[in-house]
Amino acid sequence: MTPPDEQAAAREHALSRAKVAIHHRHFAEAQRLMDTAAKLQANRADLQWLHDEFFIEKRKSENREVLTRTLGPIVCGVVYLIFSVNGPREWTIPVWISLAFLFIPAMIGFVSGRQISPEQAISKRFWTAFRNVAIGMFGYTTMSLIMLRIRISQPDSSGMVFLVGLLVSMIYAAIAGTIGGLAAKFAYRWDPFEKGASR
Amino acid sequence: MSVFLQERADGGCALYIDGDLQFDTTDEAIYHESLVLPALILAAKAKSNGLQVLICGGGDGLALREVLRFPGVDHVDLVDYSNEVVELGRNELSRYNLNSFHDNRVQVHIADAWEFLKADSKYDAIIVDLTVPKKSEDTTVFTAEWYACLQQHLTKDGIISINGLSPEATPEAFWCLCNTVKSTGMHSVPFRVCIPSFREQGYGVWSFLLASSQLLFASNLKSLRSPIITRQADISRLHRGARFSRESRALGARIPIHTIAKPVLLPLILNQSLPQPEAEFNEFDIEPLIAAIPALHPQHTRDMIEVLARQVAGSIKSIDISKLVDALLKRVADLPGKLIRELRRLKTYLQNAIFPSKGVTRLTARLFAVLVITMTLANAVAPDNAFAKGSAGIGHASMGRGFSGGFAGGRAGSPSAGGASRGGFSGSHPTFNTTSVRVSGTGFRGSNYGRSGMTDMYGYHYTPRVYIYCGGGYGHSHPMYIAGHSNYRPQHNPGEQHQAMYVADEDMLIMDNGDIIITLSDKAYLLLAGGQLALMSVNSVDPICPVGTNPAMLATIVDELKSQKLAIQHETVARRDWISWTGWTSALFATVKGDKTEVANMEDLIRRIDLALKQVGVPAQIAVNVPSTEFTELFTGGFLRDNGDILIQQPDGKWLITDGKTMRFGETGKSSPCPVELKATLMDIMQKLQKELLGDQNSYANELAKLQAEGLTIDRDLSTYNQLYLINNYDPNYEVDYGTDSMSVFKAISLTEQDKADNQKEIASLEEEHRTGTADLQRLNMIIPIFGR
Repeated sequence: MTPPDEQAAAREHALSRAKVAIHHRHFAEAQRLMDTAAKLQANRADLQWLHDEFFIEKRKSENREVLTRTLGPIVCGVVYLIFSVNGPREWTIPVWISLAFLFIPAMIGFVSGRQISPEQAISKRFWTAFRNVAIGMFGYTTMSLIMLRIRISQPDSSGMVFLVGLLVSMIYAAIAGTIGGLAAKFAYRWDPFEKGASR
Repeated sequence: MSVFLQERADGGCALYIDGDLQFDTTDEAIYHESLVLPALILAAKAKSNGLQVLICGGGDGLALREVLRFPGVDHVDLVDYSNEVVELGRNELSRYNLNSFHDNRVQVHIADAWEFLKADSKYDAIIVDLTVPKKSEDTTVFTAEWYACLQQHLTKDGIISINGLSPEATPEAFWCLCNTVKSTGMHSVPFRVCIPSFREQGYGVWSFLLASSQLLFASNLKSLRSPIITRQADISRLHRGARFSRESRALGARIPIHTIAKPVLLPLILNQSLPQPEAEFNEFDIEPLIAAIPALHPQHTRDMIEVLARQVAGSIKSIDISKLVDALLKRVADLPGKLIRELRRLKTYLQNAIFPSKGVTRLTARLFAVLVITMTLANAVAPDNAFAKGSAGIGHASMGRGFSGGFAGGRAGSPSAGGASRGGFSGSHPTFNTTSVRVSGTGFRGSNYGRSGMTDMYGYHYTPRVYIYCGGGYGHSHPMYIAGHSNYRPQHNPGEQHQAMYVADEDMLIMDNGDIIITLSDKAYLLLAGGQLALMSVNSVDPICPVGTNPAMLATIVDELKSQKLAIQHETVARRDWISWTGWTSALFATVKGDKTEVANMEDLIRRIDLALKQVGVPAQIAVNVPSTEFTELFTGGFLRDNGDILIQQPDGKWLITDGKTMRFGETGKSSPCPVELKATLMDIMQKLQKELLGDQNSYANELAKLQAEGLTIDRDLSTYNQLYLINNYDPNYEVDYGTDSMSVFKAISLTEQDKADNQKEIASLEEEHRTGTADLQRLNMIIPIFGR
C-alpha cells in the first residue's frame, strides 16, 4: 500500500499532468491521468473541473480540426494572393522559389499541423497540411498561368497550353504540399507528449 | 391628346393625332368621299330633301365639307370633344374644308358624344369619323352600346357610316368592329378602300362600314351613283372592296364583340397577329407564354413586353420554391388537409425531380463566388501584378494591330498648296499605342526567324528579301554614281548581301546590319545608314545619288522604332514570366519550347532595333526645300514638276534636276547627260506611283458611295429622332435608342448631328484627296511617256 504522503504527491502529480495533457490536447493521456487521480482519491471537485476542461478542450480541438480542413486551403490561397500582389520587382527567381515553395508552404503546413490534435496519426497531419497547401498552390499557379496566358496571344495551342498549365500546377502543388506536409509532421517535435503519440 | 399639323413645302399638309395620321391632303378626298357619300346616297334614296346629318368626330371639317356638298342636306350637327381640332378646322384647314364651319346649316357641339346623344333627336345619316382608339377609355365609342345608342337616333331609313379599321394590319380588330355593329341588330356592309398615304404609314388597306336598321347588302353598293362629282373616290366601284375571302370571314366568325362590360378591341388593335398560346406549349418553355401576353398600351412594344416578362420570369425562377414550400408546410395547421398533401407532393417532386444535386450546385456556386470575388479584388488592387509575380504586363487590350502610319514609300506630303499630300508620313508622329499591340503570329516561334524571311512586330512572317549594296555600316561614306556634284562614277564595290529581318512598316525594313530601307518600288529604294539617305536601285551595288534627309522624317522613324521596341519589350515580359513558370517542361511540350524560342527571337529583334536606331545617326540639319511650282512628290526629297523635270534635294540643300536626258545641279547649273541608272530608277518610281494612284482612283467611287450611304442612314436617324421629339410634345428627356444605348432624344439628336458633321468632313476629305490624286495622276500620265525621250 502506498504511504499517504506519497499517495498525495502522486495524486497531485497526476492532476497537474492531466491538466497539462488537456492543455496540450493529449486527451488519451489526460484521461489515463484523471483515472489515476481518481484511484488515488483525488478531490471530487478537482476531478469534476478536469472533466469539464477535458470535454471543452476536446470539443474545441475537434472544431479546430474541422476548420483547418475547410478554411486551410482558403487561407493558403489568400497568403499566396498577397504574396503575388506584393512581389517586389527586385525579387529574383531563387528568392521567389524560396518563398513560394519553402517559406509559405512550411508556414501554412506548420500552422495546419498545429491545429490537428497531437494524438492524431502523423500521417493525418501530413495529409491535412499537404491538402491545404497543395490546393492553395494549385489555385495560385492556375490563376497566375491563366492571367499570363491571357496576355500572350498564341493561336492553335490552347489544348497544349492547358496540358502544360495542368501539369505545372499539379507538380507545383505536389511540391509545395509535400513541404507543407513535412512542416506539419514536425509541428509537435518539441511537444512534451510527442513521444507517446501514435505514428 | 397631341395634335400635329405637318405642313409641306408643296402646300399640302398632313394631320397627326397622337402620332396617327388622320389625313394627308394628297389623298384625303378618297377617305372622306368614301366615308360620307355612300351613306348620303343611300339615305337620299329614302328621303331626297331635308336630310338631317350627324357627324361624330371629324373636327377637321373635311367630312363636313363632303356632307355640305351633297344636295338635299338641311342640317348638320357636328359633335367633337376636341376644341383644338375644331379650331384647327375653322382656321388652318379652312382652305381644305372650304370654310364648311361657316355654313349656316352647320351646328358645332364641343361635347362628349355620349352626352350629346342623350338629347332626343333623329338623323337620316350619321357619320362616325372617330380616331382609332389608343386608350381603353377611348374604346367606349366603339362598343355595342354605342352603336345601339346611334341606332336609336336614326330615322327609320337612316344609315350610319363608320370609319373602320384596317382589315389588313389588324384583321381581328376589324372583324371585332363588324361583329359589334351587327350585334346591335343592324345590317352592316364593310368595304375596303386603298388610301396611299395610309399605306405608307403601314396601316394597310383601310375600311368603312355602312350600317342600317333596314336591309343592307354588299350589292347595295353596286347601285351607288353619286349626284355630285367626286374628286378622288370612285363611288361606283366601292362594291369591289366589299368582298372578303372565306378565310377572312372565318376569322371574323371567331372574334368576340366589344362591349363596355367586356372590352376586347384595344388588345386586338395593339397586338397584330398574336401567337396562339396553346400551340406547342411546353411545360418548361416560357417563350410561348411570353409571346401570348398582349400589349395593352400603345407605347408598349412587343420587345418591351418580352423584356419585362423575362425579368419577371427570371425573378420567379430565382425564388427557392423548395424553401417556400417548407415555410408553407410549417403553417400546415391552418391549411386544409388536401392542400397539405398536395404541398408535400410538390416538395417531394422538387427534391427528387428538379434538384437532384442541390447540395453540389450550392457548393459549386459558393466556390465560384469566392473565386470571382478574390480575382476581382486582386485585379482591382494590382491589375498587372496579381497572379503574375510582379511583372508589368500589357494589360487586357483587345486584339488589334493598333498601328497606323505607313511611310507611303517615304513620300512626305507637302505643306505647299497644290502639292501632293498623300501618304502617312507628314512630319507628325504616327499614332501607335504600345498597349494595343499583341504578338499573335508565329514568326518569332519558328526556326525561320533570322534565316529566311522577315517578321513584323505582330509576329507575322513575310517572304525573304535580300538586298545587295555597298556595306560599311555606320559612319561609312558610300561611293555614289552621283556624288559631290560630280558626274558618273564607275561601280567598283563587290557589294554585300544583306537580309531584311524586320518589317517596321509596309514600306520600311530593318536589315540584319541595322540599316533601314524604305522601299519605293520593286527596284528602287531609299537606304538610310550612318545618318545618310541615298537613292538606291536593286540593279546597282552603289547608291544612285544622295538625298537630303528630312529631319522630321528621321524623327518619325526614330519614334516609330522606339515605340515598336517598347511594344515588343512589353510582350516579351509576359512571355518571360510564362517561361519562368513553365520553362522546365520544354523537353515535354513543343509549345513551351516554341515559347522559349519566341522570347529569344524577340530579344534578338530588340537588339536589332537598337542597332537600327544607331544607324539612323545624326543627320545634317537642312531646311526642307519645296519647289515653288506645282509638283508631285515621288519620295522624300524627290519631286516631279509640270514641265517634266524631277528634282532631288541633295544633302547640302541644293537640287539635282533631271528631265531623263540631262541633269544639272540647280536651275542654272551646267547640264550633263543623265546616267541611265538614275533615269531607269526614277521611271520605275513614277510607274509604281502611277499604279498606286490609279488604284486609289478606282476605289474612290466605292469609298464615296459607302460614306454617302452612311450619310443617308444618319439623315434617316436624325429625321426619326426629330419626329419622336415632336410627337412627344418636345419632351427633351424622352428616351430613345441610340445604337445599343438608350438616351434622351435631345442627346440623340445632338450626337446624330455630330455624326452627320463628321460624315460630311470625311466626304470632303476624300474628295480633296481625290482631287489632288487626280492632279498627280494626270501629271504622271503626261510625263511618263516623254521622260528621258
